[in-house]
Amino acid sequence: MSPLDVLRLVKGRLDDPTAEALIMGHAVADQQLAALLAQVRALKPAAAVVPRDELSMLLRDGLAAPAPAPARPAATRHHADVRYPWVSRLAVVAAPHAKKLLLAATARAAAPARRLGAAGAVRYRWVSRLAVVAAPQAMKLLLAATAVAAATAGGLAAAGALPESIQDWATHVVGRVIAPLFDADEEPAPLTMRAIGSHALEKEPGGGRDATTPSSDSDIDEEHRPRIKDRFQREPDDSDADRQHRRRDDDADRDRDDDDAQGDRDDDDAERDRDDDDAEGDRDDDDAERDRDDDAERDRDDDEEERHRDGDDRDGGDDDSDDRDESDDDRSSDREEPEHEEPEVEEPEVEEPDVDEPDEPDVEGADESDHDTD
Amino acid sequence: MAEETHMSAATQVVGSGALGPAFDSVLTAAQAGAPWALRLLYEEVSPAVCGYARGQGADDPEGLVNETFMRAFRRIGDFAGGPAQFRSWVFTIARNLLIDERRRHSRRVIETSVEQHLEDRETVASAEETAMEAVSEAAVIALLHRLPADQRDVLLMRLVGDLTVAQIAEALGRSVGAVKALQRRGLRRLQAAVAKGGAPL
Repeated sequence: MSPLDVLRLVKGRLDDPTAEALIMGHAVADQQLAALLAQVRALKPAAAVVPRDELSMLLRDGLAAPAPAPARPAATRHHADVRYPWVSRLAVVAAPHAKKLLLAATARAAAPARRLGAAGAVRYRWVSRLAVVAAPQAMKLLLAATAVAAATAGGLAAAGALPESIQDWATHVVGRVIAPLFDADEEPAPLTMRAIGSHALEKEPGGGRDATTPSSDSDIDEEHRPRIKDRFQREPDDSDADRQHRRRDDDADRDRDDDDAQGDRDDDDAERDRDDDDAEGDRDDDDAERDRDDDAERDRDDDEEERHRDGDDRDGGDDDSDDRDESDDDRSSDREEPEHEEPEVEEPEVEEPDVDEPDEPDVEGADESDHDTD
Repeated sequence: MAEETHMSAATQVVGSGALGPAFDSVLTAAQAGAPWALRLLYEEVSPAVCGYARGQGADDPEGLVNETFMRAFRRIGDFAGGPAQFRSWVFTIARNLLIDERRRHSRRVIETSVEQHLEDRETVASAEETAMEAVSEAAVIALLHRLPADQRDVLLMRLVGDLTVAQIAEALGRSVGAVKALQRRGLRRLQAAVAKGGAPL
């Protein structure tokens, strides 16, 4: 034992090199301890332990092949059949966040399109519909969210866990409403938002009519198909004469609305001209008259605000088409009232007139169907 | 033909050790379920695990080795790493099984049954040598149990399992510095015990 080792022992500690030396068998500090460690090492048998029972079989036969993956649930299979497996994946994974996803997708599309600040600043339904109209890119996200909503209609986490009746319902929404839209055209069809909006997307679980738990597939068809058909297809028994008659009435209504709107605009223009003339004349006056210029300026602002208010009151935009469309919407809302009388329609938001975009063909379709219901 | 290929590979691997340079190929084969690869891994590591189990005073060291490798081989498809990581991983499983065993038995006195050790020994020398060896082994185990569990873990993995400090740190989920400190304190305790004449050496 070296003097340094003695010093370490006296100090009552072993530094790492000494410990390592002992561990590795190079005992330099303490022969007794080294011998003890050698005894500890001897605990390890020289040969492998004889395997027993199951391990013996495993070492003889090897590991069994991994079990095949369990079959996918019916709902997921159906989604894959419609060639959009990402929809089903999203539906299963993001199920608890369906509404957030929908809001995010729609708000992203709606915000730049309509200069809306945030999803929270606008109504949920309105944004979701506007999103489809404004941004085709949002369509896939929206439809994915639709699938999510369908999968979670029963408040369940995974599509595979859905009861059969709800699976049927989700299958209906995803397979018969969403998938055909992709098959027909990558661009979002006007029918889409109407159909989805009035059915699966905005149906809160537990709220209103219990459309999430149809008793059978036939119930689904009875419940959902007629509404889509009523909105976007003409009734088969509708005569051409009736349709032409109603169309003439609509044209007349539209003309009257256009005339009213034109008259309003003429009045506004005349008033604006008068204000402008006054302001122009005021600018020619001396400094003492400048206060009146300010008054006239304020008047113009007031008039402009008033015009805006008038426009808002008419539910219209700034141009003729908006006025006409808004008047159409007014008529549409009036004509859609009979749909409320149908037992399966209990969502008043569906009928709100401010959700349709002016250029939407579905407005036309909706008008026609609405005419039919008149 | 495939079996011959496997045997050839196994022969090559045996020459260099299953945890040597050929470890990757052995692991790949083991993950595919090849028996020869599983056997190589078992033969390479099981003695150390058995020694560790003995040193820890396991009720049935060989049984614990069996259970350790059953669990390891069932999950070997999820394993990723080199030979050092594999050894650490197996020791982690063994240690967890030991902890489970201790929980079941709570605290129990270490029994130094000479007869049991005599039965368990595979290589039998003369009766006198075996008896003396068993007595010595039991005394060593009793001495090891004077150490706190974490110090005993470190020393056994180091001395019997041939793990490096870093591998022990990985197996125990501790830092290298902590393992070094445990090793140093464990040796100091053993040294004090030996000085008091606690070991029949």
